[in-house]
Amino acid sequence: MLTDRQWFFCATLMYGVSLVYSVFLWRKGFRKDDRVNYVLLLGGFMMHTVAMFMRGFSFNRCPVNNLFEATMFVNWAAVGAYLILGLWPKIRSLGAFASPIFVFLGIYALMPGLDHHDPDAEITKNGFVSLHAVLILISYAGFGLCAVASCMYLMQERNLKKHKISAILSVLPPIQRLESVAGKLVVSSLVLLTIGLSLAPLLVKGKEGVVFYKDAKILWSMLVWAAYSTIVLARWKWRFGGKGLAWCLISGFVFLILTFSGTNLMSDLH
Amino acid sequence: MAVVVVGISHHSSSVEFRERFSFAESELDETLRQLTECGLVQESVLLSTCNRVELYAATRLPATEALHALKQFLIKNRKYDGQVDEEIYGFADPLSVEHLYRVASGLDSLVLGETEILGQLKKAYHSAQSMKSTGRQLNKIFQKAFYVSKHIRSNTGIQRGSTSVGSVAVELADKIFDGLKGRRVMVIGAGDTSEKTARSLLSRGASEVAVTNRSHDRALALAENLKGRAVRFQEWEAEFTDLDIVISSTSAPTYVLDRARVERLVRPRQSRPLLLIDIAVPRDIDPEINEIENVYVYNIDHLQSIAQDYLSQRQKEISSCESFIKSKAAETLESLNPVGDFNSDSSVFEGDRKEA
Repeated sequence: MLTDRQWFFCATLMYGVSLVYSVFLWRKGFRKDDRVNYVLLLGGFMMHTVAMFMRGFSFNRCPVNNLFEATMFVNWAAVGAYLILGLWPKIRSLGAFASPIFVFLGIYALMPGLDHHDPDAEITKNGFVSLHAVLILISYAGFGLCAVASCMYLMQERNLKKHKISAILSVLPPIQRLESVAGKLVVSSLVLLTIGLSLAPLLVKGKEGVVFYKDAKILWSMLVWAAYSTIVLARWKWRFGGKGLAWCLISGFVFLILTFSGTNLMSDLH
Repeated sequence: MAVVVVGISHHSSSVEFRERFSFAESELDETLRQLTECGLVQESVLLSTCNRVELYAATRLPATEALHALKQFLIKNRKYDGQVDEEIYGFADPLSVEHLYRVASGLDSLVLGETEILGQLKKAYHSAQSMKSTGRQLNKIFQKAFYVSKHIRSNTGIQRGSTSVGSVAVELADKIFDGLKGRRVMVIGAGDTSEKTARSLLSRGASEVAVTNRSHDRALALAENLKGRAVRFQEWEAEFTDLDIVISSTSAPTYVLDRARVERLVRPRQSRPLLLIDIAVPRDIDPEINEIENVYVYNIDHLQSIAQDYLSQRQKEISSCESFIKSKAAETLESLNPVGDFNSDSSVFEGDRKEA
């Protein structure tokens, strides 16, 4: 019987196969329907789900306690969100662009030293802590998909501007739809992030000596929230869109993913 | 029985010649009846379109004899008294069957891969069937032709893409906008190509078309044709904020839309995309406008180059289609003549088909 890590390793391998297939699709100008890629990612997701359940049941809690689990969870949520979006054939090609992120997160999570298990951690005792972490991690997955949709937007936009035939021949969605998908995803992810962060004061209530405004992770989270809120506000107020929106969403996610583990390690509360 | 085809097409003859040999729909039944009565053939299907007239037949006569007789039948039936050299071609099986499969798949069409011919072929076959002029041979061959056509069209790129300016414009719009339903189109100038392009967009769901022209009467006429509305030339700028697609084809010697003007006009649109299609020569739209964010400018050269690319893509598919056709034609004839009694004389009596 495989362990949860081994199941997750198999899932990451499957995402890797999807990545190789995506390179093939890219070389062919994304002219083929993405059903094969969807099936590969679905296969990986199923293994991933087995890994998540095994981990959850073995520790009797939601697997969001350490960097390994958190990254695995973000990855799982992102693949799951893609699989739901991919039911709509017109947006299925998102998987080809998302698979590099799935592979990257998988490899990162499997790096040694991230799977530190603390049986006395707050999360094992308080269900609200799990909810707080889960909502925030799902929102990160959503921001990841926003960045993927934005990459597709920029590629398709450039092809259209340069009058390349690949803009028409490819099965990529129209740019307006990509912008709309990214716009809706960023709003829903921000809502989840806001709910997740708003649970934080309840978790530290009554605890003495907790100075949360000095905690790196909390300050970082507020910064991420402020950045995405500004984007959503600008979109709502001034119909902020196009290349500007795409670049903001990509930059936001790149910042998030590059600083996520660093701030986690610097935090005393997390 | 030998399966033969005799005919003329855009490959072998001029339009003047084809006009002389074309059949009106009302003449088809009578012609098939005459053909059966004269005993030349046991089964027949007559196809008459603007690009080809072809007579498919199954006959007990030797192939060469049947081909000559059918050619004479066509000439007499159409009362043609001029010189006929290579305009009329004829094939015996397996070339005749391969030819039918090629025609059904659009490989022999003027626009490679077009689909209209399949409908015309089906109509001709059903008409012959209703006249009871088809039998086991032609039924099987035509049914297989429809299957081959369907297979080729769905499994190769022979039908992929658009080869006209209007349909390329529709495809472009499809890659920019989240659906064409509800899109607002403006036609500047009342040219023929812009009318066709606007029609293509309307047929795909564009909700409203406004027409503007220096001559307001022409704008009114085109607007009426397109079931749209005419806008006075001095007032079209006022509509700009709500537009999604602009098709321009005026005969103005200078740009109708320059960068400074468009920059000013698109400001209230915020990030909504705008597709500008310039079909005019000299151009109506300053190419620098393409540098403005969310504005996409395509001129006639861009559109034609895309259409040409599509055609090249289709041409690359020909060899795989041909090999499929050959194998299916051999398979069909094998099932009709299991002892391998194929026509030894499959060559053409004259007017070898000229490839486009």
